[in-house]
Amino acid sequence: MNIFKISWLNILRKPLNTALTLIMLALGVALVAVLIQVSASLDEGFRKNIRGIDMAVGAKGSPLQLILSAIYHIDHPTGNIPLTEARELAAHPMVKEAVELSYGDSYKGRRIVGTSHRYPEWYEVGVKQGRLWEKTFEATVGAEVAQEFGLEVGDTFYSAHGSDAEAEVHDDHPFTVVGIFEPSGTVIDRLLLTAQESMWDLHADHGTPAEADSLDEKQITAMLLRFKSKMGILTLPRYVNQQTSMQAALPSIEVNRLFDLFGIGFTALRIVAIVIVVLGAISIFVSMLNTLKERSYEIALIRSMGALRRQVFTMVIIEALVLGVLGYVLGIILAHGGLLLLSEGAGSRFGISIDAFSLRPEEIWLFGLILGLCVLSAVVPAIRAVRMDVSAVLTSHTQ
Amino acid sequence: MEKKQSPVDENKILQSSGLKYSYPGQKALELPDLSCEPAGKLLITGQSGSGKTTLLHLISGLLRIQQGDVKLLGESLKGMSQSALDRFRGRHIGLVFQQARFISSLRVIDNVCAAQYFGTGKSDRQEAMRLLEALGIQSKAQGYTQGLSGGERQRLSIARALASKPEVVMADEPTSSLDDVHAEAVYHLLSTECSSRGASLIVVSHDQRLKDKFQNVVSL
Repeated sequence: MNIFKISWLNILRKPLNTALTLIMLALGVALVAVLIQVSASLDEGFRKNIRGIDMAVGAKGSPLQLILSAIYHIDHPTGNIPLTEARELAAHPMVKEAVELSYGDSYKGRRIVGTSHRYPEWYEVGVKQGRLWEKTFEATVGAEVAQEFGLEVGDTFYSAHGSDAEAEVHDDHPFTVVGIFEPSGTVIDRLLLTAQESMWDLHADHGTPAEADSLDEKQITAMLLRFKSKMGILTLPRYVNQQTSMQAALPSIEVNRLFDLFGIGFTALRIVAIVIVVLGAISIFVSMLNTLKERSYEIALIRSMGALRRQVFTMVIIEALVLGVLGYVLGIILAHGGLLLLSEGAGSRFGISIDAFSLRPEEIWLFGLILGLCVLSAVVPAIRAVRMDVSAVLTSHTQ
Repeated sequence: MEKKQSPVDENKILQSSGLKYSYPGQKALELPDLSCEPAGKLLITGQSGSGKTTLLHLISGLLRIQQGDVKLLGESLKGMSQSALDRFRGRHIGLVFQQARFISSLRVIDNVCAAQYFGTGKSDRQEAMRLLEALGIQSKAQGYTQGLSGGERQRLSIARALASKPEVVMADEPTSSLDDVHAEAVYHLLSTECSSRGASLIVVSHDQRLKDKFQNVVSL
């Protein structure tokens, strides 16, 4: 026999009240935990794919679109830029390395990117099967693409113009799969990489003037750059935007802008979640005050048996703490169960990975917050229980 | 402390003197002086409203003393802090109330264990079971108190009062709501269980049937 046992049995005595309180606490906790996990994974996913890329250049247009298309491949290209101009910029003394990208074509909605071997190197993605492309119309495909469409080394496929799955197919030039990348959780998983020349050849045959230029006036879609020092960030974007026909965008700035946009939604959801958690705490407060009336005689009884005021206080607080712990555990189970289901879909769509089996530090803080709220909501009922006039309660019930 | 040493006090388990108590906005109740021998029996009678329960609550430390003093086991209750009073009551006094009510979320035996725990700081299940056996309700030990009959409830409330092995058992109207047969049975139980354990019995009641069972009677 101890105070904890009595507290625990008191909680069980009101199953409906307890269930209602737990549901509110658990839902609030679950919502907050999902928000914590998703926003952190999104953040990580986006930042992971920056990979030291200091600047992207492409055709003039929206800088956010340039970043979303050139780095994350989730938006349409802004247009093309002349290869000669891009190479001039790549030779700038402040530029350490550059990767040229030609994209716009796709295979069943997955983007085909003409580039150099440096691109997968930047992402530290190795080949799991086969090898990297060497000649035109050889392709090394991302792990996810290979898995999704059952592509294997030796298979052939045709590219389609544009990025829609139903777009016009270039059926005269089949690509051959020569290798498959290892899964990396980066943007490479969702791409089919090939030699830049493949893209030029493909569109030269088509004869569209914009894309089939003479060798001197070749075009690429975008170029990613790494600087020798961060000082480049101060001077190069302005140089590109003012002195060339190209546009420069800084991924760190654009990603922050994007998160500011997301942020409004996250903040709104977070407020909803906190309101639910607070309602759960208020529910503890109200149901404790209510049951205090019914329990006053029992509390007077245990005082008459010799229970100290602080023991009564502790008993009430323990009840709230137990509800808090149960609510938190249920909420986390709910959230992580949901995340487990969600991570399958979200992973491939946004290139983020959610580890449903680990807690983030914010979720641990959330535990403290919930316990704190529960204790806070129990303080007033506990003080009332302590201040009770034992003699009066015992007398009023005997007459 | 000096008074505690005096020879008169040591022979008495309970002594009260000059007790007066006033509830807010009411005239002060003047309460008679009491005394009780170790293992003795004392009946306090009086009409309802005469202050019997107030007196009982004063001598058991449930009410703080305003005027006068109570000495229980040679210790003055007047100077004790609230928690000292609570501890003292739990350790030395067993209380029986008119209505036998319990902690409803606890099993019968756990109600006895709870009284042991709050009274002495630890509980002893075997001892609790022996008490239930002595009062003839051991078969109900694992049930809940809602399932007890009226008679069984009275027995359990006596078991609970004895749980922390108190020197004094104080009962507030233990028989008033019972018929003659049950009133006699409850009195008999209280009386025999207290004397077999060497505990004093102090009963507060307006029940006339109890009058001739006590030598030591104080009327209010």
